[in-house]
Amino acid sequence: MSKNLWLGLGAVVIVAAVIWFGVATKKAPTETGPIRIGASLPLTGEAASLGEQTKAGIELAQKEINDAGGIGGRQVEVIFEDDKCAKDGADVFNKLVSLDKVAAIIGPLCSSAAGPGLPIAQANHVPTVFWASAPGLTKAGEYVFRTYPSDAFQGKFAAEYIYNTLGKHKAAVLYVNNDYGKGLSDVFAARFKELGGEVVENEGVTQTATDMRTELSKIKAADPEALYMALYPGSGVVAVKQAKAIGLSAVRFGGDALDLKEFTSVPEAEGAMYSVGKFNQPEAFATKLKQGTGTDINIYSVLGYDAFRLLASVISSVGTDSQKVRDALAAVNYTEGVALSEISFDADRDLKTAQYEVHLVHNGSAEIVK
Amino acid sequence: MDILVQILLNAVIAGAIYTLIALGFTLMYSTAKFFDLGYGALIAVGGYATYWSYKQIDLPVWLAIGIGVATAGLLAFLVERFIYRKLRERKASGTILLIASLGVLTIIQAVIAIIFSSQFQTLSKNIGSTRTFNIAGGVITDVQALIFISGLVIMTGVGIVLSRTLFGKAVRAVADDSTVASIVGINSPRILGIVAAVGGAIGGLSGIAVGFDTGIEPLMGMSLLLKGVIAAIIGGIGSIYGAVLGAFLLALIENLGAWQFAGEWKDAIAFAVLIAFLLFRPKGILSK
Repeated sequence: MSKNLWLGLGAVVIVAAVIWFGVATKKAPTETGPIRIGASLPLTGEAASLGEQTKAGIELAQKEINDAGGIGGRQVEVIFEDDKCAKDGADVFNKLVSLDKVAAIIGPLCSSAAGPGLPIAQANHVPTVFWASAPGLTKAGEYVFRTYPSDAFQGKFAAEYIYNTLGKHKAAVLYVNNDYGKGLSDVFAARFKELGGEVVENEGVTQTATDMRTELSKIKAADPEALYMALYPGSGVVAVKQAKAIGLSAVRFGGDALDLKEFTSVPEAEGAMYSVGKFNQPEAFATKLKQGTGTDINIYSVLGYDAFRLLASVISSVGTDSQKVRDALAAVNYTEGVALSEISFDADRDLKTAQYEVHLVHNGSAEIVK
Repeated sequence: MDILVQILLNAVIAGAIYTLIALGFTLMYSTAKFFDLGYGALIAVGGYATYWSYKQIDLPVWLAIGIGVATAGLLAFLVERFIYRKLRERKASGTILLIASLGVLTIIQAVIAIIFSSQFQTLSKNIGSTRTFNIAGGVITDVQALIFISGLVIMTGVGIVLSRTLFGKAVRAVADDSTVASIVGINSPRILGIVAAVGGAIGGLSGIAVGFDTGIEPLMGMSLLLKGVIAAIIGGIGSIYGAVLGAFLLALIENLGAWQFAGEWKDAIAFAVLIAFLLFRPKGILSK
């Protein structure tokens, strides 16, 4: 046993030495070296596909800017870190802020990573542009900006759409039990009841759940007219499959996280609807993205592209001083975006305007409901 | 009453999946005598090998399932032969083997994610053809019925091989005491290799079952493994029929709990059951 103990101690010493060496030799960024931007994205785990889409958009923007000479003659380096769409966001932000000393951060796009991550950016005064959508996130402080409508809007929109447009007054809610699902479903349920509707079941599932049969059985027994699904794509697939298997016939309506091929291509998703922020995804950009990165266009790639270009445009006019970048972002009126024709922030650093549209899954892909 | 029937059926479906996992695990654990986390990765390997052969190169479904099962079994054998056996030859403790298996789990999961990406994938192709069966007001699909039947078939098969054949006798001897088994002329390492292959193949099949029922992702193995382990422990570790009983008992308690409280309680309930068994009936329902 003592041999093992020595082996263990040796390993610890080596690891510590490597870390120390890594820290000690890392050069502090200088005014002439590349500008470093950090990106906190889910690159593994359930939301990895969203992260990979975003990464493609960011890389395209980075390439364009560097090919055109960089920002003020300095190249831009992007450091991608995997927040796993989970509390690992804290580790990622700590690393980006204290080791890489980035000038700004893009992401996270998952609320569960943004919750622990954003306060670190705020505490270290690193300007951050993110699009996780849980309502409370921008409360982290004055250095965090959201280029995506908060779920406070989306949950309300969904409740109104189901109650008024679809005319369904009895709903059940199935949500993934994290900041995204909980935030969205709370806002939805509150607004739906306010309108006069009835919420007959409200069931949470874990992010990795592959068996929701019992939750769905309870929902079926409560006989709702509509099922609101505040779920991620993976759990959304499970939900529609198992809902169909047990014969649940309510109208299925989800949130923006379902706006992905892996959900819409599943045969059981046929007829399901979801709300998604209204953004432009022009053909010309789709072609450019496909040629540059080999990736198909998706809202996340456009958002990543825009976030990067927004930061680049601000940094090119005020430099990398964090206070100046923050102030410039707060006052920005960015009109060169692809997804939105105008990005400007309100006093809570949320988008001034938010619009949604409804998509319907039909024959393996999503159609916009007019 | 319909909802109770459906919940009982849900428990049967979940129990059938846990059964497969618990059977493979208990088989490997009772002979190799260490907590093999790598088994979790084999579950995913089975699912992904089938995904590749069925959805990417379009082989017939039965062949694809066969490839999935065989790949998981072969990989389990190779890991046993070239990692665990080497460590055992150096008299490595169970802790060392456990840590090595954690490495195996992490490496295999990472490789799967690199090859297939971390996206959630479904195995089934055309769901229009899914048949459902009504049982006393509840519903199960044909896939779920098949999973249930294969669980029972494998349980019976493993049970018969262990109790009626010379090979089974040798496996039981190694499980009792591998040193003594070696002294009486049983080739222990060879038995361990074969058991690993069979256990891995059963684990792979469980991953395929989950894939057809819902879907697969690279990290799917760990939570399934834990459920299988709980089932094996509360059933009485090392006992084939105990593992099956444990699997269905666990699924039943979980689903009743999810019904009465909320779905988020499932994992908490599962582990509370485990702790209760460890405290009050550590040898499980059917102790050997």
